[in-house]
Amino acid sequence: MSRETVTVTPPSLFGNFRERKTARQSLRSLFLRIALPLRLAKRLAKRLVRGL
Amino acid sequence: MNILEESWSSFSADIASRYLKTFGAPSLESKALLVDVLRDLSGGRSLKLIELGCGNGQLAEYFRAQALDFSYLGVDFSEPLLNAGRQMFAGDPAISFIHDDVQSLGLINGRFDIAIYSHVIEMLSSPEASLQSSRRLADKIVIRFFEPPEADLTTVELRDLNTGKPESGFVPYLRWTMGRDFYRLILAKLGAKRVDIYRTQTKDQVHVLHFD
Repeated sequence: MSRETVTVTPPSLFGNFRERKTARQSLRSLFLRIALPLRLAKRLAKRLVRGL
Repeated sequence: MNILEESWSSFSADIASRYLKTFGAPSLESKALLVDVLRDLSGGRSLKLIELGCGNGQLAEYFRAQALDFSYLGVDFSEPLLNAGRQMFAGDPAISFIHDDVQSLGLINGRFDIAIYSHVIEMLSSPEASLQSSRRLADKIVIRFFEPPEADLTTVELRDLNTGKPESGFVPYLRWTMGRDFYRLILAKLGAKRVDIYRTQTKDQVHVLHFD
């Protein structure tokens, strides 16, 4: 009875993924991060002024 | 004709013309994202596109509506769907359709800027074989996933496809959920250098496979 030893090499897996945004997504994200909080802050400030 | 080809050829002419327009469940957000990605990749020039598993060409119709500058070859093995596409674009020299197996793409010559899989790769008998074939024809590959390849394990299921025809009713089709490692192995063997991932608010994703 013969026995054979086989060496198994794991396959190399691809690893170069990048998360991207389109120009439209970047604009939307900028709007949500900057313009939207600014607009809300402005609205809040107006209410505060009215309340004084 | 194999079982899958038979299934995808079971649509009535009426359903074939409406498939993924009003019949089926198209995701509009990722469709719009796909156009934006193509526009960004185009750099302002006209794109030469090939769509694998194009069905009735509803994506080309959407590209036209969004004023994308492109020429287009749609590939599918479902004659009813292809006929619906041919009727839709009759007389349009920039858009054509060919009956071929998207696993082998043996009937197609020429070079394309981008090969597109839009909600298709999850339903092929071998996503890997098809990607290898389309890589021979295109500089980049863009995949719109409805089932992103992020699962822990890879599974393939046999599911029922509603043909909308009372006599044939439901027919079988394949549905892959690709695991992360399975996808990464395919990309490594394909010789991809980088993959850009674009996410939506929904589960859908658009991947751009770069080879240079």
